[in-house]
Amino acid sequence: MASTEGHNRPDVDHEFERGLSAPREVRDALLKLRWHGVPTGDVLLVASELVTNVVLHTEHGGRVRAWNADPVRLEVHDTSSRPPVVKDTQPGGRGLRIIDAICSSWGTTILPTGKVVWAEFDRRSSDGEPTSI
Amino acid sequence: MRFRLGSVDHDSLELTTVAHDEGHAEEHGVRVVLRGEIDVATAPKLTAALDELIAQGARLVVLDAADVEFMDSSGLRVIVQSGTKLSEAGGRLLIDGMSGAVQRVLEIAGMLEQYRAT
Repeated sequence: MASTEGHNRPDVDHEFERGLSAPREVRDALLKLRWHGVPTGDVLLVASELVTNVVLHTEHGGRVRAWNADPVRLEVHDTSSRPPVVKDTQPGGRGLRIIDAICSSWGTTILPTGKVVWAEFDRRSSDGEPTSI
Repeated sequence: MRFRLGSVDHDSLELTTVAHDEGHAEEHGVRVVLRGEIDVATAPKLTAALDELIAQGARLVVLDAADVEFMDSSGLRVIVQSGTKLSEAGGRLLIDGMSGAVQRVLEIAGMLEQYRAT
């Protein structure tokens, strides 16, 4: 699921300027919601990694959209068409490994205006088993 | 106390050096209590503080991260880089006291056993 089309209105829709305070600002915006079926800390961590990549590797700010659905979905839009790179030696590489470990799936969609990196979290019930809906 | 940063408050990350654990009478040891968040905005300040302690001669640096509410890979990078600097100087970086947030990131990165003080 790479396109944003067909999704309902996001529960969080937050534009951010390129700046070192952007990750914190986005985490604060995400903290206003009670996330269902996923640890809030995991949502904050993945969002922080994605927004940090935008701040470090692109010229402009971006936009975070998040859906408190099943799966929980995060999208970070930016203005650079270069996909993120998973390399430990590069700033950001370790962050993508974290995303890879936490999320059930994630990916990049290149757009004419930049890209969207999206990440999804399968909801878990309290006993740790995936919920059936 | 031999090594000193005083208390350094950078909006969302506060660092305080305290006397090292009574247990180890470690001449070159220092304990740094961290409180707040470690991300791309605050990580450079943590690096600068640890560099300063290493320059003062500290070799066993113990981070108390029990009150770190948030940490991402920016924090991991500081731990790896400062840990390497200390190792090269014959010293060591350890983390004694971890919040759930810090433990989670170290675990995912496969760095928990390497840095956790036992």
